[in-house]
Amino acid sequence: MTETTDFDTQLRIALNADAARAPAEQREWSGVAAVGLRTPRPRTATYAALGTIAAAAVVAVFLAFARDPDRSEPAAFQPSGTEFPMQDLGAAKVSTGGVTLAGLTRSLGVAGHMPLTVASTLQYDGGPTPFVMRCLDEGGSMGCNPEWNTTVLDIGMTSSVDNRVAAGDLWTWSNVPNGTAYVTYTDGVRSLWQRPIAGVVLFPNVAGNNEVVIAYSIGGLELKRVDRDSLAAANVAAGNQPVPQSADISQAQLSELSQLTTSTLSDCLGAAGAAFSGGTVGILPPVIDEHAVWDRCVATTKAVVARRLSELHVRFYDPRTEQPQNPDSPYHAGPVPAGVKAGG
Amino acid sequence: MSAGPPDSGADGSFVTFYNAQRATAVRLAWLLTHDSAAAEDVVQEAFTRVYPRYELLERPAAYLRTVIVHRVYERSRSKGREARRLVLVHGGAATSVDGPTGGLIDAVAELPLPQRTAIVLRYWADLTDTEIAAAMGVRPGTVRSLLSRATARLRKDFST
Repeated sequence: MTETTDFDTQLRIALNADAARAPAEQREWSGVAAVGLRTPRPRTATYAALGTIAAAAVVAVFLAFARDPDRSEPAAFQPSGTEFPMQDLGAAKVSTGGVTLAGLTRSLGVAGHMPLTVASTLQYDGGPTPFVMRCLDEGGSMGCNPEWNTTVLDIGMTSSVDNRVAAGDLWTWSNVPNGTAYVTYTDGVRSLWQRPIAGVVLFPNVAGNNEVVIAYSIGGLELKRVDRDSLAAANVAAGNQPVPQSADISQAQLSELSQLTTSTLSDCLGAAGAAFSGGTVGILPPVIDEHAVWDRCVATTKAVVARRLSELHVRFYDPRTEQPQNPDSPYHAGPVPAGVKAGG
Repeated sequence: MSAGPPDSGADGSFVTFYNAQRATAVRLAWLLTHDSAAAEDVVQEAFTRVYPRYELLERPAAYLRTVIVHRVYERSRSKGREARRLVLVHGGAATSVDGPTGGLIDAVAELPLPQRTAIVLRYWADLTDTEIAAAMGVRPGTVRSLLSRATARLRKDFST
């Protein structure tokens, strides 16, 4: 009896642990919002019958036009090649230590490679405000792109030499256009396709340097093409991208503002209901719109840090053409060109 | 309609029902498929099937559960195989779940779909034989048989 009870308990614990790995993103019922049926309806037979007919029509329209493009099968368009599936392995720790929410940091898995993590964090790095950084991390080797850099095609390659684990390298694109349902990948050897998760696609790199990668909408409309020409054009655009001004501050002030960023964001997310459990990845109750809370708290934090910079009477300068004057500035090494990614 | 919370939305509206049930529904679909995209698809399809019938349902949550199970079966049949699972190579060894419960999770995931469904509905959803039978569209005796075979196999796999 004890053995049975122990086994049952272990089974329940295991299933609960497994269930916790399920996708946690909360989505609103967009079909109801579209027809204004938010208020409770009387539950009479007549209303029920009419409601059923009307709702069936609404659902038909909803299914035809308003399904989530990330999840729907194509009606007329079928990507060419073989699917190279990617799996959302759930929320993951952020190796930078930045504060974020579970829905904004996902561990992504493909066959033959260690999981990669995509994460959004808010960091203060000496600008007029903190900036959201979006990072793709492979076992501590990380590439990040700040929100102000809108020109860069965030293309990368993992290194099986560095990680010493994977069976091969991955070609990564971590900012596919909004509305992308499928991405096709050809490298002269294979033709593959994948559904993006959190704006990321990962493909096994075999031939190298001859990749042609195309992002498609659900209907088969080409949204963006990545090849040698487009990468060269993106590099030129990144070089012409305006960069934010830098704050002429000391190392101590940088530390203070970084801490202010972290504490303000944590407090705001906590006030919205996020539980951190001693870590830096907050978990919101499922009924709360995670992205709305994040956007609101990012805006609040930016305003608080900007106000503090104003109180400090900080001078701002163009990091492309000027040097800091503060003798304790951590930025004496020189300007950072646009398009250069932070981190490794 | 006499059924109140937790089976239906607290104020009786579909949106409330959707918001209250979606996370649980996704977890159930995940436990049966181990595929995030498939789980999301199944749940979205299930809610769109419940929606036009919602006002007529005595126990919409039970109906939703049944639709999810059936959709998982349909997807499994249409693909000619059970939901795909990725084996991630990590540290030279094939692992899918870390931690002390990982072996048991993997063992459950390896069960045939009917046995896995019965195990999930009993040990995760805490349903009775009758409720499981209703969700799976089988007789209670079949549920007891599935559970017996599944638990025997799990004990054997997990003890080795």
